[in-house]
Amino acid sequence: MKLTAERLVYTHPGACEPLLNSVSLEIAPGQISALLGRNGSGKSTLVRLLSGYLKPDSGSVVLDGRPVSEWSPAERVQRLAVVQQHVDLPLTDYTVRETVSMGLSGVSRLSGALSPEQSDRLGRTLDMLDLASLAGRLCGTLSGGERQRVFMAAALVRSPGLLLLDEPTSAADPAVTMKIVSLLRNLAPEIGILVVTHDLQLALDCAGYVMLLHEGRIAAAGTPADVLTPETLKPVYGCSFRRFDCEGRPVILPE
Amino acid sequence: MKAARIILVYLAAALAAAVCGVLFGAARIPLSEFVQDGALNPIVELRIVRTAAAAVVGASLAVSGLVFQAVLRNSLAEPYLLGVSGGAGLGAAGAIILGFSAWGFMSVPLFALLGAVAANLLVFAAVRRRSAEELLLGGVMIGTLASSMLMVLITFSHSRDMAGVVWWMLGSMQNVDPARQLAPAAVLLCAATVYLLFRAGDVDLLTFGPEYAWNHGVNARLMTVVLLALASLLAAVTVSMAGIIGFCGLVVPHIVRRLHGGSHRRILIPAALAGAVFLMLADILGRVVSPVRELPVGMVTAAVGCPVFLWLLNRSRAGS
Repeated sequence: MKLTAERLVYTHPGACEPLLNSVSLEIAPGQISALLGRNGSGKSTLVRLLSGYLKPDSGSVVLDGRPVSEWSPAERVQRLAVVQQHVDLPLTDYTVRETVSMGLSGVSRLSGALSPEQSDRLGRTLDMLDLASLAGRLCGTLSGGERQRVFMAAALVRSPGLLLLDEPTSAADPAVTMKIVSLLRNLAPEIGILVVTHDLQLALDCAGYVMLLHEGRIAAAGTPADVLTPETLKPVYGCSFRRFDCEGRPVILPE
Repeated sequence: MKAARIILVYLAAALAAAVCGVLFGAARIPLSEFVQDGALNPIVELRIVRTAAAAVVGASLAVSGLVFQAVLRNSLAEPYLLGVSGGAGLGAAGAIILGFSAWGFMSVPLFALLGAVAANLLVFAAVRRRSAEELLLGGVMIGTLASSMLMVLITFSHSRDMAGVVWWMLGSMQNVDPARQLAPAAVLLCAATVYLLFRAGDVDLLTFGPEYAWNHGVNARLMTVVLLALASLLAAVTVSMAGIIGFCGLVVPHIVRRLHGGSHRRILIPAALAGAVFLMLADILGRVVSPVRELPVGMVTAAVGCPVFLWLLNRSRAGS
């Protein structure tokens, strides 16, 4: 199963210039890809195009051999899960268990009861994201980082083949960030993952393939060693970077 | 509390309110006179119809408000948002002032329903992108336009027509026809409730925003339009039956959500029953407090609903 975008062009309604101009990429199982770029470069918009939520001006998004728009919503989400950067807090405050179980498909429409298999899967997902102890808590009482993990669990509970994560560590502390990196590494052999992030170190630590989005195009793409270099990053971010090894681990910092 | 137990509590309250609705009214009727010569006392018969009407209207408004608030993610959203009250008011006033009421008893409700549906269709036709926010703004605009036109009609009307329009706009259960109005409204309410129970999972997901719902397998734009159209139709039908009754669709779902929270699958039936109880009690109060000339039910709902709402606003749902 893979997700392929071909020459995507997208212009925001009312804008004169396209935000994304001929962007192509591929997400395949067994690999973590990272998408980097400045604020407003169109990273989240690209995720919305890949999920089919937005329609491109031109170009195509193909999921598992069919255009993403041709899948029924239920079929699409069985294959592709998306974790948004921002989720509106609803008027009704749901518990963690309720929120994560909303991600399950095939739940009895009338009673809402979970089958033993679904309950088991829900329990495993809560454990995987260290949410079991918070299962009965209302989401409105959680911290931003905890809530982010809840939404990640709601996406993972379906066991999708592909996972798009928009800024998954933006509200996480270093310990939770390390936990998420470890989780993504564990998931990667089975599924294809795209992580949209501003965290260069996160990309360096967990991605096998890195793309730099700049001025509506993929300005550079390749292995972290090739792309995350001071020479490639400077024209994109407009500042200097220093890359060095720290106890055998590559580190990159802005100067 | 378990979902089934919550429903049982509300059901018991609804039954108690219904019994009170039949027992109490402007005239005191001893139990021994409920049945005379093998037939039901006509006043009791009238009370049964208006109590049933209050239950159906209250439940419809509460369900409509629950859907509006969930889909628009706004606790101030209410059933009349998408131009329903303005359109219905214009339709009813047009029927009274332009003399169509002489066509028959059903002409005013029919014109009110047509006005509400026309305003609703106008909103859906005029708003191109149909996101929740844009539909809401479109509804406010069309509603305002309809209200202005209504004011123009009232300004040029005779004073006797004006009294009729104003009385109708304050809401009343007095003139509900059981066969031609109440029965179809009850069928619509049941059908809408069953549909919403099946779609409660989608409604839950829409409360997190359309993109979140899309990412979890809901066709968010289509479902938003379907749910808002259904909620508007419920409101339009109640307006055509009983006039414009405020507060019920705003306050009841908000209170039920605050008290019980959780999935819409869990709170839909409690909200419907709470709406029924609220309006049956408001109707009884309107009849009992002022027996000579009963208070319009819309006025009672506002007078009772406002302090209850403010009291509950300061309480929050305890964590599970």
